[in-house]
Amino acid sequence: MTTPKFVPSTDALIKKLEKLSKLSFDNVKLRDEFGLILGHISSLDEVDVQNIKPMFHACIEDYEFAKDEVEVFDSELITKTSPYIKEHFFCVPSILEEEN
Amino acid sequence: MSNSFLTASIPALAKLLRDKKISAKELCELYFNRIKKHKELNAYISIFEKESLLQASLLDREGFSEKDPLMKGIPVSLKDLFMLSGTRTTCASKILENYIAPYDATITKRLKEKKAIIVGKNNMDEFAMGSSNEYSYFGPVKNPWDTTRVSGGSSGGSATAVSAGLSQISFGTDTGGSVRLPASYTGILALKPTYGRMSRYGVIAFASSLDQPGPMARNVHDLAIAYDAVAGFDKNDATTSSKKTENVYEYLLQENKKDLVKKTIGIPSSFIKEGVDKDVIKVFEESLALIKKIGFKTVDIELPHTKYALDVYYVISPGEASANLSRYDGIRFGHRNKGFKDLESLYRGSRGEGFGEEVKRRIMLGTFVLSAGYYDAYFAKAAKVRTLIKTDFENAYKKCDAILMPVSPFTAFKLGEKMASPLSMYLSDIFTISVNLAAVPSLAFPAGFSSQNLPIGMQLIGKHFDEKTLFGITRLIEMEKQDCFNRVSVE
Repeated sequence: MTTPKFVPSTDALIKKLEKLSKLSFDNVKLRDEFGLILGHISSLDEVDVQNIKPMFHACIEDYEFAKDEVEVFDSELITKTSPYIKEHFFCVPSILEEEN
Repeated sequence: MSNSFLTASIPALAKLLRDKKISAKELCELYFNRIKKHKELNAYISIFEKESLLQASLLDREGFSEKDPLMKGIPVSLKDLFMLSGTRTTCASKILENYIAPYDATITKRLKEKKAIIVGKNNMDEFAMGSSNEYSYFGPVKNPWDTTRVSGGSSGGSATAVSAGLSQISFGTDTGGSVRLPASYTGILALKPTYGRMSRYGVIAFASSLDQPGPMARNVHDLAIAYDAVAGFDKNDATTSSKKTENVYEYLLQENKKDLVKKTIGIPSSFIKEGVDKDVIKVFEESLALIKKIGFKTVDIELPHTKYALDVYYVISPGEASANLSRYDGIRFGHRNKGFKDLESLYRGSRGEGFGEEVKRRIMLGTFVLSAGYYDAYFAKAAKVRTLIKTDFENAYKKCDAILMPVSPFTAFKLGEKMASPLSMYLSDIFTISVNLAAVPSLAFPAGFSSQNLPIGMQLIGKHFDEKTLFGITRLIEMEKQDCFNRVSVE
């Protein structure tokens, strides 16, 4: 498969990326730069990668997995990381509508 | 306290501490006075003066002996993405502005075990995304050689701290050149180790298949001691190698290194000429002449796919980053938007307010290259070209033992100069990125100065897990070119 030369930042594409990334990309400059960077990346088009295996990780040797052991952390230290805590629980907005 | 202590290496300081010519507390005070004096460089996000001086006093009471680790009592700083339990770790982002690390990174833990004194956390580009250190929520880091210029990024605070004598050594991370580039712009040394040589446990992730922590120092011995202190297998990071680490500092002290001078250095001439500053070319040619004078053989090599490295990097690194940064949801940690209506607006509001422009740009790009319909054409294709780049290095190492090339095509540029164009900023990394893609080690060292008296760095790129050769060659260069090494850039 070849890389498209230019991917226009259509509203539909931006909407899809916003939905996936949980961000808003309403800045015009950001959209323009996105198109420019994609244009640059299209140089990869000219490389023949037939029968080449992808390199998804950089380990020279095999992974050595750690034993699956429980490590106990201080729950107060852990919950300290959140801006909203109530009695050792993370507070989140209600996702269920209140009954009238 | 005299600034002459700043040019002392770690082994020299360890002797001064043992001989009671200086106390650990006095050494710490010297550094804190300098940190405050040079506050305008913006090299630190947090400093731990009270805690450090207390620790230094305790070490003084305990005393110093030959048996102690060389790092004992040495003031060290860390890029603000290494977890240091109970202290703020921001990654220079608003989203982690008030985040308190609940545990120690392995590197932090190993430094504590060696009784180093962690004096503070260094400024950086937000989430390590940048080449100039201008993308920090806490403001840009300035270059101590010329404060109208950038320090380089993303470990710019670490580089400026070491160069200006605001810490003896520092640890940064290198995903596409982030320790080597700022080291080159500020006239110090930095090592990007082989992928898997240093633990990433407790290091806030940017691009997991590329990130590697690395030490930064003013001389080769300090760099070697810093590397020895923390390198090696870590059960908490499955990507670390179980291959035994060799003590590099001890190797450097050995007198008879006949095998070292027999090494051949590869020169990728055709890659270097295009678009490179004439001052950089001049220093490169001087370095080449020097290694020949020392006795090394040189050979021309080709790295035909490195011209695609930048494009491969800007597919793979944003892809990995967009996945890594999805954890910042405003719920379990970090900034939370106040005006949310529902869960979706909480996510978007928190992330939108918390991330800076460059981080958003990379998440946008990363989300795109991983998304259905584009994955094969972008991410999978880039991963295949990455294989070709790695193979280029393997082929080159059939003819040579290390490769010499500049770190950057130009010297430190003016603050703001490249902010309008992300693409021109990305080009700063053209010589450093292929090293991360191929997972090989690279040691950047100060090699000369431009006509405007700005530092210029070269890098020696090695075979997988052959950091020792890079240290050995650089030490020989240091002995021949002492005026470039161990410089403190400001009074």
